[in-house]
Amino acid sequence: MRSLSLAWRNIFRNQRRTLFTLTAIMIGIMALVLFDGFVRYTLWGLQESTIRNGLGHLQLATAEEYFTTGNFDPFRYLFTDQEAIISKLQALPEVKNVVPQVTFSATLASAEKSGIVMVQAVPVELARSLLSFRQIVEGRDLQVEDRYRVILARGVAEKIGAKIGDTMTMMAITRNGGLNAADLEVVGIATLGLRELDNMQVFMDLPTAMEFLDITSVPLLITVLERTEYTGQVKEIITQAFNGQSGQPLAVKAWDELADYYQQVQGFYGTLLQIIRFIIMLVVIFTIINTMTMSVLERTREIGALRALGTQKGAIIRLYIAEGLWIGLLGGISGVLLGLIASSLINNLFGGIYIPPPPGMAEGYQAFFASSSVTVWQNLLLALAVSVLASLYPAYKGANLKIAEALRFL
Amino acid sequence: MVVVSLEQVYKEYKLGKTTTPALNGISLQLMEGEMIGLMGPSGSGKTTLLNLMGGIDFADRGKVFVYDRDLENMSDRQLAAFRSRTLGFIFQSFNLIPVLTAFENMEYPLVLQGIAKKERRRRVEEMLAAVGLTAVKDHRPDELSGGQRQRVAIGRALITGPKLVIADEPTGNLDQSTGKAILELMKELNEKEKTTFILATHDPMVASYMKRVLYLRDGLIVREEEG
Ligand SMILES: Nc1ncnc2c1ncn2[C@@H]1O[C@H](COP(=O)(O)OP(=O)(O)OP(=O)(O)O)[C@@H](O)[C@H]1O
Ligand SMILES: [Mg+2]
Repeated sequence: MRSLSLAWRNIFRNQRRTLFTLTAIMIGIMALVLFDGFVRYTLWGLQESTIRNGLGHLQLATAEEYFTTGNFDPFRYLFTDQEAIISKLQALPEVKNVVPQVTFSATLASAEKSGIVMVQAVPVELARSLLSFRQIVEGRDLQVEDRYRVILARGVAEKIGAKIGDTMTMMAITRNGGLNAADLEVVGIATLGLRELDNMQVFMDLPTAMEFLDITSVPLLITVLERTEYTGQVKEIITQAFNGQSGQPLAVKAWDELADYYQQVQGFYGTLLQIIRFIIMLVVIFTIINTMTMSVLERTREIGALRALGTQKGAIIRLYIAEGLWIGLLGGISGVLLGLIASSLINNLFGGIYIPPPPGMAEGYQAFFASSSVTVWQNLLLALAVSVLASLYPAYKGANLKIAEALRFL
Repeated sequence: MVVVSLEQVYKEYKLGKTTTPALNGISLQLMEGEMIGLMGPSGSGKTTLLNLMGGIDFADRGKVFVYDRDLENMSDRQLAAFRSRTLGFIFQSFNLIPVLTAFENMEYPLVLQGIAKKERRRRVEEMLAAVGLTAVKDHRPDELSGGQRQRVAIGRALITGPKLVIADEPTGNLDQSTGKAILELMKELNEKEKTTFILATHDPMVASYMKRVLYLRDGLIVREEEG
């Protein structure tokens, strides 16, 4: 208690120096708040575009293997009681839509060129919910009554030279093992924002796909939730309540388990954030050590007097740690506040910052700063921890001064 | 009862290549209730001697006993506790805590002893009155005159009722009458409480208050006078 109030007075003794130290922490923490906000926004954007480009929040299949190799042989994994599962899922309040889907690889050929594509077929009326981030760049979206009509991802259209109104031939293996072919009309060209998907995705309505493949049920049920935050809890509910009840086993995967690219990006930014945090904090630590060591030197005689009066070494250490605590608290609070103010200024006044296309993305985007309460607490704690850590060395030096010499110090 | 006992104490300071001898084999005994003056030219070793007695510096050779305890064998913790409980220190330059007021500076040793707030208040107010500082008790050291600071330092040393007071030129900055008042206060404590005093001074008036005066030169006691 005593240390805290004494320390509070001490930090205002040399106001210029304290201001300098505080500025160092403040700028460091502000930079971290901004960077953290940028990463949060970017990851959130990537998360939503991953989910809303056809992945959905949760995917249900009849076997784990479906998620790795299912697209090449969807027929082995068909649901037997698809409707029952759909209605049970739809009864959950967190669930927005349940989208039955079949995905299969096929060869798509124009008059001159052909290519391997991934065909994603869902009911047209549910496509908008599942594919809400898909943008039609040319032509139109599919309509409910459209049969044997397709939308090509932009990269696919370029690869095989397809234009709106062209007729393409699709060839794929069907349920009985034979090769089927059908003519399809291109009605739209779309982009998904992720280059990887733009280079292979083709969209069609589910009835056409089921007729073409000669199936009556699908191998995959995609659940779109009201909010992404519900993913974990709904997955829990499904694995606990659904399994064993239906005849078939049920394999459930959350979107992030299926999004390799998202995980890579998340890992990348995570590491980057750690490195930046480390560097900034190192600079802050050395600034604090430097100024505090100066203040120990300046107060040599005073420390000598305190010790001569009977103050224990531990109390001197506590005094300097308390000063570190105050400095960390003041610097941390002002740094976080400044970071939040700067974020909202950039968000609202300048409408974000334009970021050119990152690797793997098809387009650049306008970045905003999405700060959360976690950002606030994390950076406050960081500022506190770092300044306490930095005060250890000066504290130790102060506590171990030779008393008689300290008292003679001029 | 012997309060302080020095046996053949040597102390020298090394600064680069030169060594300065500060104490050259001093032996002395301080009895309870004594009031001893320490005189001698500048650099004769007065402060060094006082520091050794207070356990804030250590002899190169020889023994220092305070209340029969060999200071050399005490841990830093024990020494700090010993200083807080037993000693009153008055430094050559007052060494007040700049961020604390006169009141708080005097209160500090009582805080170290863990004395309750109400009791601290009572004792500080009493001491402020005794050294004539009640009017400026809320001033910080930089708002006090040299003499006032000196009196805060004296009050701080005496407030715990120490058994041994070690004072290095305690009246150096005081005018004649205030200096005398302080000395009277010390004399009263010495007579009533049997507090033992050792005072280093250049001032013969101060020395005249002492029961015994030791004269130091070049780290040795060269003369001793009974008062
Ligand atoms: N830390 C130190 N480093 C080097 N020399 C020192 C140190 N402390 C004391 N000395 C030397 O030791 C000798 C004794 O010093 P001391 O301070 O004890 O003298 P003093 O009698 O108190 O003098 P004054 O009356 O000026 O206060 C002096 O020569 C001084 O220069
Ligand atoms: Mg001296």
